[in-house]
Amino acid sequence: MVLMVDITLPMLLAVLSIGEFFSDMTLVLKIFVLMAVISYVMMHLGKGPLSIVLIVGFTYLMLFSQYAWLFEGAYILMMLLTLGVAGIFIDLFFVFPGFAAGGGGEPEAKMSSQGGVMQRMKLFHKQPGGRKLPPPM
Amino acid sequence: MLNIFLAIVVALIIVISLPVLVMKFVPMADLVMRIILVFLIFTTVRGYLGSGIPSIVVSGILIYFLAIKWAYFTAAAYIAVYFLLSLQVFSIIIFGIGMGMRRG
Repeated sequence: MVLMVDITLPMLLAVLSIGEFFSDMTLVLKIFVLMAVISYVMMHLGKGPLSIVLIVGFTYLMLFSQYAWLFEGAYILMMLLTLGVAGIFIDLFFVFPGFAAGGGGEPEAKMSSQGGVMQRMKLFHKQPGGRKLPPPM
Repeated sequence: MLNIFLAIVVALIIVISLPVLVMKFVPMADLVMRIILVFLIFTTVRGYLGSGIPSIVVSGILIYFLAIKWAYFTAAAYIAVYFLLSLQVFSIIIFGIGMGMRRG
C-alpha cells in the first residue's frame, strides 16, 4: 500500500503538472491571438466604435466559439512559418534524402534540380523526334 | 537512413535543451535569461497594443506565466525559435550529422 502511494503520488503530480502546463500555455496562446486581433483591427480601422464591435466579434469567434482551436492552430502555424520552420522540413524530407541515398557523386548535382534537368534534356535530344541541340556559341 | 534521421532528431533535442541545462546549473545565467525574457515579452506586447495601461497589464500576465512560472520552457523555445531557427542553425546541424554519418 505504501509502495503504491509512493509510486502513484509522483505520477499524479506529474500528470497534474502536464495538465497545468497545457492549460497555462492555452491561456498564453489565447492572449497572443487576442493581441493579434486587436492590433490588426486597430491598424486598419483606428479607435472607433466599429473597431470595438469588430474586436468583440472576432474575439468571440477566435477565442470562445467551438472553432477556437482552428484559429489558434492557424496562428501557431503562421508564426512558425514566418520564422522559417519550413526550411527544416525541406532540409529533412527533400534535400537530405538526396544526399543520403546517393553514394558518391557531386553534392551540388544532388542538392539542386539542375543536374536532373540537364540529364532529361540530353535524353530528349537523343530521341528520334527530339530537336537537335543548338551549336555552342 | 532511419538511424541518421533519429540521430538528427536527438541532436536537435539536445541543442534545444542546452539553454535549460545552462539555466539549471548557472544561477546567473538563469537570472539574465529571465531578464531577457521580460524585456522580450514587454517589447512584443508594446508592439501589439502600444504604450498604455493595457500593455502593462497584459505584459504582467505573460511575464508571470512565461518568465516566472515556465521560464525553462520559454527560454528553450526562445533560443530555438529566435536564434537557431531564424539563423538557419538547424540546417547546419542536419547537414553536418547527415553527411558525417553517411561518410563514416
